[in-house]
Amino acid sequence: MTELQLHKLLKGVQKPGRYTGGELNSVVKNKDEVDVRFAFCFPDTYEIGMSHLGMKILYALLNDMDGVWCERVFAPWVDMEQNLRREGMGVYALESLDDIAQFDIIGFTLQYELCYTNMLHMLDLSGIPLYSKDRHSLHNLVVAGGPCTCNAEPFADFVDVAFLGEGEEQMVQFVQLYKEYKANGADKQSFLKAAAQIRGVYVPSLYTVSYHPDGTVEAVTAESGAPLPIQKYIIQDLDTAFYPKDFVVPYIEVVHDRAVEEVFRGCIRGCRFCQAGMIYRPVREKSWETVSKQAKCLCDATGYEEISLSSLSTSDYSQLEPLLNDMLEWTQKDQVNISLPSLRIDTFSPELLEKISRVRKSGLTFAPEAGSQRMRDVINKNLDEDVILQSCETAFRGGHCNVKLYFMLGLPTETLEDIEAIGQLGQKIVDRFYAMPDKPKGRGVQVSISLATFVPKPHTPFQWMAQDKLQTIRDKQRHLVESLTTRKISVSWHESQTSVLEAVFARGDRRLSKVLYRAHELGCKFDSWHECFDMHKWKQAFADCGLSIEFYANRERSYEEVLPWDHLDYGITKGFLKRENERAKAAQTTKNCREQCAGCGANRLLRGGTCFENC
Amino acid sequence: MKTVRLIYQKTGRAKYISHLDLNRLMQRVLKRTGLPVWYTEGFNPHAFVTFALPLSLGYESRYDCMDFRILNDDLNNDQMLQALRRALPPDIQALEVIDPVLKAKELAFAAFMLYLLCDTETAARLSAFLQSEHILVEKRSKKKEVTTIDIRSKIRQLEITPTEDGLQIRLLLPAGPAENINPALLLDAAEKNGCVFDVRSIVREMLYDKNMNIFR
Repeated sequence: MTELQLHKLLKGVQKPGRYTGGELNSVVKNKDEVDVRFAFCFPDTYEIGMSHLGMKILYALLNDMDGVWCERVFAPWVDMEQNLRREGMGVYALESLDDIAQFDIIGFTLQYELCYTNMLHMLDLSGIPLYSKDRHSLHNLVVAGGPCTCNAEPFADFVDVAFLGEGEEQMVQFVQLYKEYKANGADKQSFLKAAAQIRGVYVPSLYTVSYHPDGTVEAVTAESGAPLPIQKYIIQDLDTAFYPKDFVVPYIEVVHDRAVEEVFRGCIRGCRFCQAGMIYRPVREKSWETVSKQAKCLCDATGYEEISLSSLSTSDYSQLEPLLNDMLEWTQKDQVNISLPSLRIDTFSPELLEKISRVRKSGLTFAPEAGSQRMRDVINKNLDEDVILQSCETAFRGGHCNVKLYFMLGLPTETLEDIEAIGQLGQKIVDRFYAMPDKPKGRGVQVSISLATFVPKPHTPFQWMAQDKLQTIRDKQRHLVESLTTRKISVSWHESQTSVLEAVFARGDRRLSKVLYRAHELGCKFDSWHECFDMHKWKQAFADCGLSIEFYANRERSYEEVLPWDHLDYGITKGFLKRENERAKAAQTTKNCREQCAGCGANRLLRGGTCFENC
Repeated sequence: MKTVRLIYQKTGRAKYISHLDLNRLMQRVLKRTGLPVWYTEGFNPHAFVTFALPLSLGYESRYDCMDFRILNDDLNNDQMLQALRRALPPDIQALEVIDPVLKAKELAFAAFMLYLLCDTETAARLSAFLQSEHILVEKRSKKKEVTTIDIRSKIRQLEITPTEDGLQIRLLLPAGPAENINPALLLDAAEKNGCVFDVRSIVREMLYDKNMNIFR
């Protein structure tokens, strides 16, 4: 594309900076000198995709490989889509401005269920056949990774390959193999058969699914010597694993506009609703020396004024104290702010608060997830009310008068008393503020309660449970608002209809591919954006395909049922998930991994087979 | 502590960086240089930078100025220039680092080049239109008040050169805190007058004070 074509294309488009590339640290190679061109697609807007750490890691990793050029692609917003259609152009990559149809491998990272239609939308805009079976050559191989591949079945008919687990090493092997097969002029089928032998590479077309008359799965069988089950790939040692030395620095403001340093993978907690806490097991930490060194390198290379220490629960990092002490040595000098995005309430101390607000003060958010102690025990949050109140007081003393709290509605066994307890907890926090003799003068307190709708996810102890019906969720939301008696507590929630769709696609089977296809035909895209989401179209798509939303979202499964994702092995065993589900029903908690091993099975993936020294 | 002025170009894909985004970009550029830049001391410390004249989104610039403060008076301008060159993205090129001569309020004129695409008939009509005695346009002030001005009387210099595929127009317009005229006003007026053309690019070529000295 010439500069003039780009200029014409962008005429009248909002935020043209989304579509122009050319940012600092973006990688431009000579396309005549590369063997494999990889289009790394994030099926949402630039601002969201550019905030995603996994993309930054794999972008740098692939571009480090000889003969490989990886470029970034984002979903064009509706105004840009119109311009693309007007100019007769497809979705293009930001580095070369070439259409993705010119790429060898088109990879999508699937971070949430509601982006599935955008994958189809992007392929379609570039004229690439959507179904895997309709793409016959090795060129335009469509692959997908990210957490959603832990149940790849709903989009299994579209992708040639789904990557299970962590990509850093597996991706190199895969692309290397592709390079060889491409050089030899091999056909797609023989490549896929060979690729299926790489750990964590799932080739859906090599597996056949049969169903019972009631629509549940009967069995999954493998062909052509493909492995069954397919086990996810993990990195053994994060200290020696690849990590980018720089990030592409966006011109326009993106959602997370900061450097990100990963401190560990996995989570010791075992909250029963949390998919990430299960599928990223076992816990593996980076040493604090590596974290500090990599973080400094990133800040120097990007000029970012903020570094986020990222993980599923950063305050659980065993080396947090030496890490922060070491980092403060250079962050204060360089005017860099440290942010800890996922703090557990019970590890929140005045010292920690002081350290993270040394340069700039940012907002505080806690996630009790449930209002009553019984409910928190059901979900294994392992958090007492006293601790929540104490931490809020610590925050108040540190000068924070606004506290944001996350809760979920529709959790298994939930009653109306559990709902009211959310408001009561908010009230106790407000009371705690006013009970402080030395509370900040002239300033009020504001407790913001944010409600999410519980979505049962595969590979969690709640994978068998039914989601509340939409009307029940709405009644519960109203019940909570009506139970409040003060304006110092505000309540907000997301549109629950999208949570229903999430529940469907999170635990769906392969038959849903045709629903996705139909929804795409009907114009569904950007489903996580309320201005684009249209439930009527989705209902029509299900009706047209003869499938029911309730079957997937609101049905409790039996332990005997073959679940659509049972052949995808994420380390944790079904026996462990059953035990945890039974304990949930009895409101019994399970200790965290560091205190006592719960025998989840993920340690089998580790060389040596132990997660912690004392277990 | 001293104030220094970076003179730079913003071309190619950098023209899609808005003024607000440029501000943020320069914060990061200054951080990457490792230079001892002065930071504000408020709740949100940031490098103190000021721009001589904001540039509209989509325009290129061959001569732009940004001031910042440096803590070490002994650093020479050439050292700073080299550090900035290493830290800037490819489409923003550092030309010079100087000790400021003029104050931002002394800025008075900006020279623009407009490259338009149109057929020869439109080119002739456009030339005639631009050379008419009065061109009345509506201008919105910051307070959203609409005033009518004769933009023709504001144009200090006007050179029109036909090109292979359209027109090339050189304009000198008032710029700066006292009065600021965007060449888009003129193009809008031409469009309203029935001229159909495409804008290939708009480039701000130079900044001047009231005596037509280059703004330095």
